[in-house]
Amino acid sequence: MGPEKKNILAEIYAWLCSLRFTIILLLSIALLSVVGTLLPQGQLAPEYIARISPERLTVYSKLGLFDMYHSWWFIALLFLFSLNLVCCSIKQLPHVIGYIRSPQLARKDDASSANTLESTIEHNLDIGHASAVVFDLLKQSFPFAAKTVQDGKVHLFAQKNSWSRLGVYVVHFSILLIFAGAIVGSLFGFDGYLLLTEGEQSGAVELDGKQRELGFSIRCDSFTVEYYPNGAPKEYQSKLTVLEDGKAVNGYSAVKVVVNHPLEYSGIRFYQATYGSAGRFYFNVSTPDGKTSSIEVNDEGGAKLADGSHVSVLETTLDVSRYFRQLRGAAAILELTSPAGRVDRLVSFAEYPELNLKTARDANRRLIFDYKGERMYTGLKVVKDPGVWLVWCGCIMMLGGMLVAFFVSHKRVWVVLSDGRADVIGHSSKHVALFRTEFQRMADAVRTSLTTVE
Amino acid sequence: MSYTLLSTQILNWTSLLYCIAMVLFFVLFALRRPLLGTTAMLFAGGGLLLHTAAIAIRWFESYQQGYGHAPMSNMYESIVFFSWSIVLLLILIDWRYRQRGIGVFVMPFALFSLVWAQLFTVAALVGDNAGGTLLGRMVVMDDRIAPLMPALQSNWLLYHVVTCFLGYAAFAVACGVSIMYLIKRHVEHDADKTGGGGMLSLLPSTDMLDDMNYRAIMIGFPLLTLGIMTGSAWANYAWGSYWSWDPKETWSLIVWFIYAAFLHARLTRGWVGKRAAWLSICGFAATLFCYLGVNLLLSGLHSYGGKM
Repeated sequence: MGPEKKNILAEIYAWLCSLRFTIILLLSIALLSVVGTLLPQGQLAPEYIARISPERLTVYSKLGLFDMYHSWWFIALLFLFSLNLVCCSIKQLPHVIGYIRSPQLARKDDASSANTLESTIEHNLDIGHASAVVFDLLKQSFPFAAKTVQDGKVHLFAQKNSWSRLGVYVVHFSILLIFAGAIVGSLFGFDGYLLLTEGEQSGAVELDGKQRELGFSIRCDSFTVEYYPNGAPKEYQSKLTVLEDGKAVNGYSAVKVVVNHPLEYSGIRFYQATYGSAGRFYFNVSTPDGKTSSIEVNDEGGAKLADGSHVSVLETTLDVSRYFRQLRGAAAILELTSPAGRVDRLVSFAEYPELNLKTARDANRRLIFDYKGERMYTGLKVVKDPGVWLVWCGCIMMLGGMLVAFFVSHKRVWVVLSDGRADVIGHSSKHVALFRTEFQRMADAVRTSLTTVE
Repeated sequence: MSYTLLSTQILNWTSLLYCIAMVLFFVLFALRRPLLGTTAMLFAGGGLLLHTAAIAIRWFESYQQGYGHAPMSNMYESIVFFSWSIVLLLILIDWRYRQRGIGVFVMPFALFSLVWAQLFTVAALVGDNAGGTLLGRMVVMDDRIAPLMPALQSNWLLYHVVTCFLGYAAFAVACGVSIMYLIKRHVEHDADKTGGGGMLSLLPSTDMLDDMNYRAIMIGFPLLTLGIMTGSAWANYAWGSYWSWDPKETWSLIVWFIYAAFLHARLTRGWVGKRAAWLSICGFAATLFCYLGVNLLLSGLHSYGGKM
């Protein structure tokens, strides 16, 4: 490798490590992310496709703008961001660890900065005695204290929270951990849907049009919706049973699954996502002579009754109170075609047989229909994400690291003793204004200990 | 009298106290009497107590109505809580740093949100036709206590909203301080030519303001981070995915990246003072868009927040 090539590589590395690069990356990721919140993402609605010109549609799709957070350039940006984090840490961490492991025991004269506080005390003790007194004092209030003799002066040094300088690296590492979790999730996890009609079971989920075996089966025992008095939905509830080799697994029988309470079984979670009518409706049909039979009316073909008339369901509701304020429960609107061709429409309630009877009498109809409900299906989101625990570990680390990085400061105190004079120097890695009072107290204690000799 | 009405009336008194506090902060500016600052803080503190009571009563009332959820479930409730968070942080910062002057620029944020919440509600405007126009949809809120939809029925609602809004409030404080910094810098620059500092001399020094901007963001950033995390944890329970690039999520991340850039920029020379102040103002503008703009203008998983 020639020297020029080496230089270029060194320059690239220096750029990758630089804070300027970090700031540019942070701001450009922020700016580019805006695009994805303005353009629709994922599956495009037909109305949108109709509104936008074909040329723009092609250009946007080619640029990946309709799935921009998964586009190669956005991922590349995140990769550069990770690279920047890693390079910074490789460059800085050895210095910081060195700083923590071998602190500057003897104070250098030219080391003052904005974070340095100083105070000078005059005394008339001999150096040996004075240093012993002050050293005891420092040892009382700091976990680490050391004594160094240099150029005829005694340098006493004490510090606490030197580890807090690592906080920021913990935060940086936690970001990598969260990315790792996301990668693990996308490589080894899946995210699919399962539509189950009440009473039915399935051993596979649908992933992008393909079936994936779960290794066990899941059965929907029932699906119900509960409403608030004002008609707004209160709870969507599926009762699910996990089956292994056709038998219900202990403790996983008729488990209640509602929004915010998924079912978890062998690392796979089932979330209540959607629901709908399976298109099968049940009625009890009675005749005036007291004979009752139950019928199933199919969404597609309807049903034929014994007397030759035909029934079909036009509309159903799980909660009739939206249409009739004083009534509750489910209801269906039926269309009844008699063998003679007379068409009749009627409402059949689930909870009010007396109303069903009344409508039949009013319409001078022989048959009475009592709605017995419909078969529902539940739509479950099925998720396996083996990376999620890495993400949570990353989150906890990030918070811990941030608290340390922002609120714990590395505090150092030097007392340099020479004949008749003691220089007290304090340094805090952050929050100097708050450190000032603490430093003042420390300097006062040193003064007291040096001037009041027992 | 219903509890909701009581809560609304207490909020009227709260706005009055905040208004008095703000006027006092302004007078403090002109007259430079320290006693005025203390009085202003007392009014702000009294207002905060009433404000807390109003929120508590509304919470209690939601239990009375049989719903039982924290009053943070719609736009009206969130904006009342936003105002509360700002005043709380203002008082905490005053107590910790003893900088009276910042109230002048921070109090208006709190007062404005609270007054907005009170003036443009369904109850105040009577009738729903105000919601017909785009502007109507954007500014008018429903202040009725409503039952929670299934997705919101979770303890995470409380953790998520509280952490996010305390973070937003810290950013509001940082923004107020930054505006103050820019004005003071500007005036001092002119004063160097003409001589005399004028009434701005009561404000904290520019160095102090710059430092307070940084500190407020140091408080806000971990809170926003926690807010995003509680949101992710909740999304993972409710929807089965901790991150779905929903506009609200994305905007919160944009805000996070801007403040992360701010914090890193502090470490390099040349990014203190004026540039830092501008970055902080941009950060708060993004925060406001994340909070209001996304709900009102974009659609997504969080869209229940802005609907009538």
